[in-house]
Amino acid sequence: MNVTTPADTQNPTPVASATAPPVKRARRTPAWLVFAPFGIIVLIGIAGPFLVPFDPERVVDSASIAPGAAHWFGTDATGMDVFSRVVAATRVNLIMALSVTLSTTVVGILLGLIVGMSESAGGLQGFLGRGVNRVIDLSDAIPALVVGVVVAGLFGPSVLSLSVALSVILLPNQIRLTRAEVLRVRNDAYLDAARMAGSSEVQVVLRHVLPNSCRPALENSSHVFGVSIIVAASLGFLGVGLAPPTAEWGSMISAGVSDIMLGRWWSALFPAAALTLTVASVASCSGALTRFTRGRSR
Amino acid sequence: MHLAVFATAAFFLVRVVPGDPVLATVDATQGLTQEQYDAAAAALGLDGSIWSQLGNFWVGVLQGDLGSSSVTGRPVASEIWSRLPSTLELVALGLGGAILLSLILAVVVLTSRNAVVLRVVRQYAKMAGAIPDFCVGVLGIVLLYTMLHIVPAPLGRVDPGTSLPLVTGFPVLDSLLTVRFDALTQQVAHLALPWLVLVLTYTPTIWRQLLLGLDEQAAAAPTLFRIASGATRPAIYASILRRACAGAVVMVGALFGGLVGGVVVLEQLFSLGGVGQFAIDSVDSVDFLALQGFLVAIAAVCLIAFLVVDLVNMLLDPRRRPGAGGNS
Repeated sequence: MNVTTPADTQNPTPVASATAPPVKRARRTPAWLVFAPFGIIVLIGIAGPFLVPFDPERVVDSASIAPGAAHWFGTDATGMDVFSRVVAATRVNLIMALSVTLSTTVVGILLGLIVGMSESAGGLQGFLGRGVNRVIDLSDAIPALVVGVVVAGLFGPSVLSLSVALSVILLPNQIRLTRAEVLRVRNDAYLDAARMAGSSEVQVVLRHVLPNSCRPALENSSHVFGVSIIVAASLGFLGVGLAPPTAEWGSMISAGVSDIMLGRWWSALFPAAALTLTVASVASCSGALTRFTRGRSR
Repeated sequence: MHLAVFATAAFFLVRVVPGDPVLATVDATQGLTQEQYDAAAAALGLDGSIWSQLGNFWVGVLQGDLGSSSVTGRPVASEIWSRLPSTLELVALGLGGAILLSLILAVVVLTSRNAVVLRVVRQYAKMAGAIPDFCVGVLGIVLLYTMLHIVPAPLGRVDPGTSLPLVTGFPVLDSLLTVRFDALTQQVAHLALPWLVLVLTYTPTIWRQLLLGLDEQAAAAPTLFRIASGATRPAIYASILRRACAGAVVMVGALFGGLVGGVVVLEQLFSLGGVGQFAIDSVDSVDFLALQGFLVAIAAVCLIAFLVVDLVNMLLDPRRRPGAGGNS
């Protein structure tokens, strides 16, 4: 590509890029622009159900009306308003993602602490620690989606059961991230100093190990948020998620796909676009957050 | 050894699924005596205590016998074996494309000095895990099928009425082997969009690891040594790439294992059939033996993928070979 850009003219000397310092970045996106899309989506999640023009879970008009003035995104094959459903689903999907993120991060960090501290201990404690560690390794070999299908099938489809299913899927990674950090700091001198100062083992772990080992899992939590939205929708798409008429993006897409073949593209396209935009906005936030925390700690 | 532990885990995971496969298969509307129930359970291999079932399952796995499906009555192993190749082929094609694209991006990063191009390419790495594949699939279908009519309808691997040759079970490979160019071109047309979705969705995950490796190795001592000793530029790039690959290779292995089960969403979207659909169906119909057989098969595929990863990394990096000192 021979496009001359401002950045090129600033750096006219050709250097072997293999050894040169990283090329100067193009202008960085301002912070508000990074967080604005996700902020808007959260606002829609909070206020959306009060703003929608139609009841999202009722048949409000004849089936399969093309997008127009009355129904902005058209109606689906049963006659429910697609716009209202897409907006209403935002809340369900965000709440699920939020609860999954909170539970995996909290439980993951705690289990990571316990496993990391007790792994090399003797007796029952060490045995259990190594056992949990083995289970985490095993979970690598099971496709996450299949576990989700089994667990969601186990409890029946509801917001709670799906959240549990997703937490089970995403927990091992959080444990592993924390455990690796615990192993790094476990033998540091300040822990021995605290022990000698009379702190109990629990105090040592909570006051000294926890703050020094929780960062990777916290940084990863925004990734967990995004992935849990995707997996929840995938489960909905496969028919084991929240069942219609509950508004949920995944099941809306799966219900709308057969309509695409008939030329009615709107009932699947809009939820798919909403899901993609949400996940993309989360991803852009997570990148910015990581840069922010890294920058501050230096 | 790993497989035995895993088989046990799969066995218990499947047993916690609610529902009774015996009741699901027999017609219980006119009531069911205990003898009839026991006979049906024995026919499915679900009689005896849970421990004797586990023992039978272990012996079966070692012999390649996974029992019979409680729904179709056919052996689970052959049910899986008839579906697994097409899934493996799709995943392999998709990841192959993703690896190729990652390598192309790596060459771009190493050679380009265009800040905009570099920024776009680096930004692409940050989308790892942030693209829902089936949404991209839906957008693709709406754009390329409904609006532009470039790709055929997402309804199967070939146009209706065309039969697929069967030699090895890998559909595209079979069409090549039997020189069935009609089936081949149709499959290429039908698989083009799902393949593209796979490549675009999963490249960032591989690419991010590769980029981390590149950034780490670009100015490392071995690179400087190559430059100082007057190696040509392609040789320097090849050297950097070779050292940067390890993380990406591990990621490919992990993705492969995850996708063999996870690609089911795309397979369903494009009606391609495959082994994932079999698992979803068996959850729906409470088919214990089918589900645990599926889990064991997937685990076996994952273990093979991890083995290949280790072998590839040994080929790329002599320091990883066993007995190579191991002090690094």
